Amino acid sequence: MTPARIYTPFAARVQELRVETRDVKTLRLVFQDEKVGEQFTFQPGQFVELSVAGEGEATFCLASSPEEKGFVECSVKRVGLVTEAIHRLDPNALVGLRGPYGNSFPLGQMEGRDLVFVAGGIGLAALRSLIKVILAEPQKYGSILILYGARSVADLVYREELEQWGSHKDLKTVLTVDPGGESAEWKGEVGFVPAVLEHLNPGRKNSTVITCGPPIMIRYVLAALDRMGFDPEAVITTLEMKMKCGLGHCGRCNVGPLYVCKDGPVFTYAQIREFVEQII
Amino acid sequence: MRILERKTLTDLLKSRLADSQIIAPVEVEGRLYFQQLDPRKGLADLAWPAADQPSGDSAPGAGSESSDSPNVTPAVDPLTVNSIKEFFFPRRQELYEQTPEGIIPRPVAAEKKTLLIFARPCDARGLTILDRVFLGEVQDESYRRARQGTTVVGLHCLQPDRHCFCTSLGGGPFETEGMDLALAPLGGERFLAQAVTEKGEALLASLAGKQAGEAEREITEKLRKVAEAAIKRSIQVPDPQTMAKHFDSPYWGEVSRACLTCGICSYLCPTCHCFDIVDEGYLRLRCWDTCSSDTFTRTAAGEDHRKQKRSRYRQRIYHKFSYFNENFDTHSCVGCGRCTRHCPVKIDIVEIVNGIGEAAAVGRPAMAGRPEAAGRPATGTGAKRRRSGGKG
Repeated sequence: MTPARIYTPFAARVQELRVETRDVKTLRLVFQDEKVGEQFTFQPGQFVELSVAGEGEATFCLASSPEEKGFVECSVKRVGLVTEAIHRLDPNALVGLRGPYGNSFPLGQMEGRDLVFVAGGIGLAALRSLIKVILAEPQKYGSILILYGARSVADLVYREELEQWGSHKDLKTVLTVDPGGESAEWKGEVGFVPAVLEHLNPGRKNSTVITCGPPIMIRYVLAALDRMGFDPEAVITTLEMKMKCGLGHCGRCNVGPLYVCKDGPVFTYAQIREFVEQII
Repeated sequence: MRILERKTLTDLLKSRLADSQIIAPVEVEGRLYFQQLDPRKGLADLAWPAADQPSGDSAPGAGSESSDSPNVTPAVDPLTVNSIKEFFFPRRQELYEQTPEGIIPRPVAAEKKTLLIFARPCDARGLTILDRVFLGEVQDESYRRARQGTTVVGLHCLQPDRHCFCTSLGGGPFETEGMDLALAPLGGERFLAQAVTEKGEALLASLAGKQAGEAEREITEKLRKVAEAAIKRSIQVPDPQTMAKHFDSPYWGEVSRACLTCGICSYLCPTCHCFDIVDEGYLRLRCWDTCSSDTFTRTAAGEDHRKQKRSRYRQRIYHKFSYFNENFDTHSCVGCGRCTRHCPVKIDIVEIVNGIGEAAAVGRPAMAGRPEAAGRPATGTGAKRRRSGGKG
C-alpha cells in the first residue's frame, strides 16, 4: 500500500520557544525548506497539525499573523503527551507541520463593524492572528473591545501584547481573573468572563462578537449574549475538538452533520446553536 | 452478457497470480474471510462459491451436471467475516517516518494490479460509500490508487441469510453498484457475467465465453426474485425530523446498555471510515478507529463531548442514518448485517433503528420478535424525558 501523502508534514525548526505562563509556551517555527516558507499562506482562524518525533501529532491554531512572513507561531498549553514534548523542545529542534486546515474568520463581514473579542485562557491564541490582521488596518473597523480573562493573573497570556494592543486608539482592553485568582497588585477586573461581559454590556447594534475559550466559558458567554439580545449571526466562535486528519475523513470531530475541521473551526452561533449542548 | 465456465475463471486467476494480487474469499476454521491469495499456493486457498445454491426449489439445472472440481466450499455463512474495505483503506497504514532529524516518506512500492473476486453486492456498494469520503473534496491518494488499481468482480447472492437487509437500503442481492464485472452463479460451474464498467468490459473481453441467451437471462431473473424474496429483514430509517426529535431520548441509554464498546461493529462494517493517527516509535500510522471507544473524542485536557457510552452509540447511529445522508445523499450502511452477526452482545442495528420512532418516544428498546415484548402498548407516558443537563 502506498503512503498517503496528504498526511506527510513539512519539516519546520523551532526558532523560539517563548514562555507565556507556567503552562503555556509560544512556539515560533521556521520551515526547513525556505521555498515552503515563502509559499505557505493561511487565513486567521485556520489551524495546523504539529508533530514531534516519537510523540505524536496534535491540532493547534495558527496564532501569528499571515502578514508576518518567514515564520508561524502557535501557543501551546501543556496538557498531554504532545504538548509536553513541545514544551521540552530545544531551539532548532525539528517538528512536523501540516496544514493549514479549516475555514477562517469572515474578515470581510467584520469591516465597518464594532468588534467585541471575548476570550478566556489559552483561547486568546485562536483570536491573536485575527486581532493582528485587524490592527494592521484598524481604520476598516469600528471600535474594538478585547475582554480577556484567565483563572489567575499568572495564567494570562500575551501580557505585553495586550498592553500594546490597548494603546491603539479606538481599542479598549478589559482584563479579568476568576475570583480568587487576583494578586495584590492586580488592577484589572475580578469575575468570570461571561459576568464581566454582561456588566460591560457592549452595544449590540452594529457589533460582531468573536469568542474563544474553554468550553464552559463559551457556553456561558453564548448564553449571556442571548440574554443581551445579540443576533446569533453576528456572534462568531472557533471550536476546539479532538481532530486527527484535519480533512473531514477521520470522523472524530463530527457533530451533527458538521465536521469541525472542514466546516469550521470558525462558526457563527446561528450555525451551531442546535448542537451547542453536544459540543460545549 | 456472457456465460463464463468455472474453468475460464480459474484460468484467469491462475494467469493473474504471477503479476497481480488476487483477493478472494478463503475459508479459515469454518468461516470465510477475504484475503490476498498466496501465489505460492496457487488457488488452493480460494473458497469457490459452489455452496451458493439458491434456496427453495427453483434451482436451475443449467451447467451443474459435472462436478469433478476440488475445493468446493461446504455450506458456511456466505458472507465473509471481514468486508473488502481493508484492501482499499487498510487497518494499519504506515504514513511516514518522523525522526528528530527529518521526515522520511515511506517508499512507494511498485503498484501491483489487483483482482478482487467474489465481492458480494453489499461490499461492492460499500466502496461507493467510502468513495464519497475518500474521493471527495480532499482525495486520499492511497485509497484512490487502490481503487484505480483494483478490478472488482462481484458475485450475486443466491442465499442471503437472516441478518441481511440490503434491499431496504437501495441495494440488492443482484445489484451491481461498485462492481466492475458482476457474476451471477448458474449452479457451481457456470456464471452469467455482466460488465458494469469499462474496466469490467475489458476484462470480460479478454475471456472466452459464449453470449448469454434468453434462457440464461430468464434463469438469472428467476434467481434474482428468489434471492430478493429471501431477504426478510428491513430497516426503516426514520425521516430526519423524527431522528432529530428523538436525539435526547433515554432510548439511547437503554439500547446501548449492553454494548461493550469493543468496536467490532465498526471494524467489520464495509462503510465505517473513522480512523486514528498514532505513533509507533518514529513511524506515524493511520489505524482504524471506532466512535464507540471512550478515547475517540477525549482530548488531552480531559474534555469529552461524548463521555457517555450512550452518546457514543447514538453517534454511530446518527452518523450512519442522519448526518452521512445529509452530507452525501446516502446512508452509511449497506445492510450486510455484519455488525449484528458478530456483536458479542447481540446488539441489533435493525431493531434499534426501527425502534427510534416508536420506542424512543417511550424510552424503551425495540423488542421486535421477542414474545414477552409483543403487544406491549406504546403508551406516551414518559415521552420525551429530556436529559437533565450535563454532557451527553
